[in-house]
Amino acid sequence: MKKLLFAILTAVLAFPAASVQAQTASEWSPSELTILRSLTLSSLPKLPPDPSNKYGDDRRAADFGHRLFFDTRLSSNGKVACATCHQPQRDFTDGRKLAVGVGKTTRNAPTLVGAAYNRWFFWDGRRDSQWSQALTSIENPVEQNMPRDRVIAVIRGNPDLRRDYVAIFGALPQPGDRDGINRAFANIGKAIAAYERKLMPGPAKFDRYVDAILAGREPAKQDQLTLDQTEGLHVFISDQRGRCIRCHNGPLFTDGYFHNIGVTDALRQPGEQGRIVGVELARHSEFNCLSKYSDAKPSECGNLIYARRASLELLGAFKVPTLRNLLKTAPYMHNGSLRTLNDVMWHYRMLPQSHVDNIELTSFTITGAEFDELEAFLATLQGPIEAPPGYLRPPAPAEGSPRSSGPRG
Amino acid sequence: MTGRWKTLTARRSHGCDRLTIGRIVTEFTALRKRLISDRPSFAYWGRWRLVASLAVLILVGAGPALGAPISIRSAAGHFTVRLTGIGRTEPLNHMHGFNLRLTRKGKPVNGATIVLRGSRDETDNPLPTLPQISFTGTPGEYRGEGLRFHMPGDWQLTFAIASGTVRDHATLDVVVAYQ
Repeated sequence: MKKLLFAILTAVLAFPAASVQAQTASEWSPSELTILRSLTLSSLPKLPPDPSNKYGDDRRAADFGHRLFFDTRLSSNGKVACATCHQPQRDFTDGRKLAVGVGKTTRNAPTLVGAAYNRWFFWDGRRDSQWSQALTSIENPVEQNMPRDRVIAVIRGNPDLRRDYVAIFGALPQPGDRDGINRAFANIGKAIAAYERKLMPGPAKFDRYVDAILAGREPAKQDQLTLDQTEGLHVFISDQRGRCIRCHNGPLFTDGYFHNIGVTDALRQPGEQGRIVGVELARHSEFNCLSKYSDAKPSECGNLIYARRASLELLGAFKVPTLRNLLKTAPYMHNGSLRTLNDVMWHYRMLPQSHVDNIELTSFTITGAEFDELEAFLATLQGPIEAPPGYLRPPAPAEGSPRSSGPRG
Repeated sequence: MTGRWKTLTARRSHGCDRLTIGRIVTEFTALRKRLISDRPSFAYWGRWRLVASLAVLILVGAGPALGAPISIRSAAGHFTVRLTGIGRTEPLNHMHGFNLRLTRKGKPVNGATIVLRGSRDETDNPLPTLPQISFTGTPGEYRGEGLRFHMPGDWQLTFAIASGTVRDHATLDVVVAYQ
């Protein structure tokens, strides 16, 4: 009798575990599987060339850009490099609410991992290439505060940097040659972009899980999603429940566009107008795709030429960030106002009242528990960074460059 | 038109595609059986391969970029718009161009002003781009550039057309799908 009771008890206890196992194979409908496939890194196309940067896939330029990225000599106080706000150990963010360079900025530092796939740069998309983004940060008075002629003077004055520059781009311009300096400055940005193009997200638990079920096999034990994570994924991809996928679509979990989710008040807060201003700044940038410093033909500048502008929904709209590697990139939103992922969930739960009538959020029908599951799912998007050896740490200091250093902590 | 209706319409249209594909497969199967029973010569097999190759080309051509032209009448019936390079099902986040042929009472219309705007049905999100359509110089032929859909779901494209004093608009419902 005791044996029978033990057998029944064992069977009852084993049943939930068995049902969890069974879910992995048959949890998803064919249309859901199509969506899941579209979200995995396996669906991420090979990084296309940047036609505006002919050095974008030049390994020597990337190595040079790697050095420039960590070089604090490219700042007015000698203490700030790109890597100050984009730290490899924090998945190329800085952990701060607002980035701090030579001064304090008004923006949260976004990750650079996979950023080469973006069409627009900065939270309001005020630049249309990675190289012009880098140049803007170098000259911004609160970031690196380094005018372009001084940047070129630093390159000219340091044998190691000068040697590398000349080997890739040719002779440096003479002081006072304004167009030559602009061109050389653009080259500096192109080298930094060549480095940044090598920083790619590696497969996360989510990718391994989906790859396994699409291949018709059981995911490895460490790649199994928990029930909370599975439910969260259901909510995420549902167009009726979470609706997250409307904007966070594709393998990088972003549509690359701009939406107003009511984080700030576009009408009352200075500098919070978002995309409606950003697109005009991109169009008038002296380093945009159509500029003489770009390597692209006009026909290759479709993103800029056909960019939507002068439209009310762009007011207060900011770029949709990737959701990959969120665990290491807090705090969140363009102004870093949400400290944790749970705060982000509460932002959506509370449905902020927008101060303009173009906020895109509408009421959700999902429960608090489902928000928790959503948060659990997002953790499965944390993955490694894939980059060439050595690119995730400062380069070895070259001879004569004692101030070349890594990021501040 | 509601989103559900559009989905149903799209499914019906897909159903027609499947029917057509089904007919092609049936005909190939019958042809193959007949050829086998007749102990076909090399020439027969070569012909069968040619037909099969053409069928593959037709099927490949059914994709959104090279799809069969879509003809729509404008709301007041003034114009007929024939589109190539836009499908009833469109890919997500892919910038592309398209060709447009504009006719009125069967005759090509030259030099019209055509403005394309798009809207996602459920949320009213506009297109993320401002596509431009220009006359190519060939009678009735126009080229559109800069079309991209950034959100999945049902969208409505509206072509506002002005030619001389005649103004009208034509609409096309498309489904933006995951790939």
